[in-house]
Amino acid sequence: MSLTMTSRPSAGVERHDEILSIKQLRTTLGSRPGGVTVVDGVDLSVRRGKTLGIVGESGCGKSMLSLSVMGLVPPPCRLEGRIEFSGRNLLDVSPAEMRRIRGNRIAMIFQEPMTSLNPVLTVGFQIVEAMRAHDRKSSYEVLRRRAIEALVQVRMPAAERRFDEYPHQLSGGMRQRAAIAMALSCKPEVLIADEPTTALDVTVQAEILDLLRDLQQETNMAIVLITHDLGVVAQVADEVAVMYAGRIAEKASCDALFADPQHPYTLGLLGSIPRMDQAATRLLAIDGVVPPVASMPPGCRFHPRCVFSGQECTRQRPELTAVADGHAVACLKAPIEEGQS
Amino acid sequence: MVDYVLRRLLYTIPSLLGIVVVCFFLTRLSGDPTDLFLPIDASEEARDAFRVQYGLDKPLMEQFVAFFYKALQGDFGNSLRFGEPAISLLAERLGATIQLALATLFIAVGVGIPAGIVSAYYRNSLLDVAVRSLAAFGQAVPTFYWGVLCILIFSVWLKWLPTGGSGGLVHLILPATTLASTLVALLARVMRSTMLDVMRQDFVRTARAKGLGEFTVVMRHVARNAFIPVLTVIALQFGVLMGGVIVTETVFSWPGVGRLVIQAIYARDYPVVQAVVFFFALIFVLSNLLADILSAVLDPRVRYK
Amino acid sequence: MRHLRSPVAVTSLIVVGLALLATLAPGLLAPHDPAEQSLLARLAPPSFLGGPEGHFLGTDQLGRDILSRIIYGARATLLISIAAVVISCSIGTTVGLVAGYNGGRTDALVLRLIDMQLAFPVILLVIAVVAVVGSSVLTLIVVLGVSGWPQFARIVRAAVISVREMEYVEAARAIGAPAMRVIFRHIGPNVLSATIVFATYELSRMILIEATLSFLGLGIQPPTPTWGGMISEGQKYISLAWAASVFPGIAIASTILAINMIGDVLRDALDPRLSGEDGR
Repeated sequence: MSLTMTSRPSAGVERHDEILSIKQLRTTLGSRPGGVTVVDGVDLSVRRGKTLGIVGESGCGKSMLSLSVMGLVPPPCRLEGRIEFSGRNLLDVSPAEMRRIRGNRIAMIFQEPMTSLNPVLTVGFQIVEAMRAHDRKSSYEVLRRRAIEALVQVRMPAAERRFDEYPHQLSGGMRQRAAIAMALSCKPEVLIADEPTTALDVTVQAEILDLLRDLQQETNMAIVLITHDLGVVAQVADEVAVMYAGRIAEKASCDALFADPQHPYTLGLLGSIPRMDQAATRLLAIDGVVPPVASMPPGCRFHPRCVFSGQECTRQRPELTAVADGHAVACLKAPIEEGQS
Repeated sequence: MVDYVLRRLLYTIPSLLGIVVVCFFLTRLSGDPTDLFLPIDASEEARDAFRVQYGLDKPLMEQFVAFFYKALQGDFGNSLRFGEPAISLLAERLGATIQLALATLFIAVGVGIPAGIVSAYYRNSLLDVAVRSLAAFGQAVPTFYWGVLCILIFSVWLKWLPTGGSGGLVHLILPATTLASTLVALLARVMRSTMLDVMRQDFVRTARAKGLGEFTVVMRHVARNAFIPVLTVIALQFGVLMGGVIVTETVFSWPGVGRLVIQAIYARDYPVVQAVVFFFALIFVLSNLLADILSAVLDPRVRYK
Repeated sequence: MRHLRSPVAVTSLIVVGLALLATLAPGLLAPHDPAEQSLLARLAPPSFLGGPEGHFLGTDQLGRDILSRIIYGARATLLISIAAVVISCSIGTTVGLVAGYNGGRTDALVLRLIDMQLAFPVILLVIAVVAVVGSSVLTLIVVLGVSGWPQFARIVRAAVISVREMEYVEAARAIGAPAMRVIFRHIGPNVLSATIVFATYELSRMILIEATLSFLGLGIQPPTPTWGGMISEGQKYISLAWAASVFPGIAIASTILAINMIGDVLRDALDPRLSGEDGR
């Protein structure tokens, strides 16, 4: 079974390398009685120099997961579980301490480069501002030089000139480069990228993904890449977690997931990717939509849309169970054999 | 930028034209202008002489062109009451009005904008409910009534401040507070709602993700962006503010342009009325122009179009 | 209609109802003739503060009953404001419908007109006209009515343009329904709610302007009681008796506040999209 994973070092060997590890995280939005749980018992970890891909449809809680790590879930909210970052639980640190970590040691880039930069401030100002938030001592000149270096590092064309330009003067791809430069300006250990390429066209998308991978090799940072696009994950991720309705459905190394998907939902997602090497008849589409967070079905949350579901699926919540070394799946029917259905 | 300013300047031309048209027809609304400008018992000869002197015997179009030409030079004829040029009466009173307007603007922006910011940031808190209720209340109470209440409380009962007239700073406090009341309420409301709009924007989340402190996020990224549209609202309110100026100056016997126009109306001193109306309308158009240019300066998306 | 049951809405409706009743039948509510003078009981404080019996809110400088004068004073204010809103709403709606429906040159012309009129502060226009023509109920109604149309035209025009291209309007035109009928039958109802909400706010603005004019002595002339006029007269005696100027102001403020609150309720009920104010 572990044959599928030979191309990469197996998980668990380098424990000390785990820079960020999320344990039984539960994020609930809203005040106590009427709150909705958008992240429900998630376990994940990411290692230095590696990329964790989190895949799921919109509304599956993947963005809330990333905001939970950043401590940016809009109040009122409740977070339970542990988010361990370099030995500390981020859910316990003071707001001031969290502010020092945020943007400095854990940085984030967002989906919409169009709207994620302030339109009335120059690109340069916004990068310098990010550095200034964590560096009170350096002179403006030093920060300015470092900001321009960051722009050069993200391969911004005519970096020096862009420093004084406003976001609307840049193209979509250049804006995302500026956002990445801003995120990397403090040399973070973890970069969370929430759909960083979704709003960009295909060629620019590939450029940005290449850039992220190269920057990772230079800096050895860990990347958490959040996307709905399995194609993107296949390109850059080392590990993949598939999320459905606030829970992890399946977790594996990238190769294992694509070679031997176990959860019906993963199968469905893979089915949605047209493949050259497979007959069209094997395409598995998923019917229906993600259930609204306020009215989750009991048992396995995927069962109303699942072609394999049986009686037990409507009652019992499936726990994440290992089916192979480093490959876990939350499905009562797993492992699903080829030819079933 | 230059293009934008020029285009915006062009847009003011029809407005200016409209103002001149209104001012011109004002004195012709009641039919014969000589009824307005001369005493009721004036002789027919005197009326004829007046008509010739002011070109009223000429065709209407010609009269209008002459009026337009003079109006642009600030010449609205002499005050019927004082015999001086209307425009110089206006100029005499201008200082007091500007003093009042600046003090008002200072109070309104200084109180209304922070109130809006705090109200939006702590939305649905008790503080927010208080600000919103006060704002709703402030907009419902007429300016002149504020003035009367202020006089009653601070002059009659507490005897802290004079009931009116002009002099030092103490004379300015009540009129400026009165005039600012509606504006404070309006600014707080508008600032609050634009703040809420901006707070939902992605770049605010980015700012937080950078590790900026809450104060920096709110002031530099939210309030600054929210202030740009509010500026336009302030300019549009200048019209309402002028009505307020007239009222406030009357309530507090403040010797400004507003009081001048009311006295001129009572005295049927039409050249002065015309001059003030023209002047106020001009200020209104120019303040809108200024606000648009200012928001272009503050907003690079407009600046670089 | 659940919006209408909130305490704020109920209170507001009662206040407006009382004001309307005072407008239509002041005699039913008022304890005294508003013109009846009593020189022995001048500038009396309210009866609940030790003033003479029978004058609940006290008397003015001529010994007239303040409560009765406030009740009779509602008439001038409300009649003028309501009539003015009806006029500006009719003009504005018609112009807006025609401009929005026809588009092109008509629309451009209307837009220019709107801009021109908005460049002129309403209060200034009204003061100027009243200064020359003098103030009568009719003058005030006409001037206020004519001054308010551009905002209505703007709202209606925008609404019409947004529905003009929709299929059912196209379909109506395609089957050859006359232009005006298409406008009123199909576009009208869509525009109605926005217009009603705006008309409510406009009514309170007109009340404010009317009160301001009568305070300045440019509105309805004495001896007809007006709220603004009462405050202006009362101000002269404010150091002797505050009741004469304070109570009419409460009448103005509570009427305006009540109408604004009803406007908010209507906005939330009819057109939730407009309630950006609370920024969900």
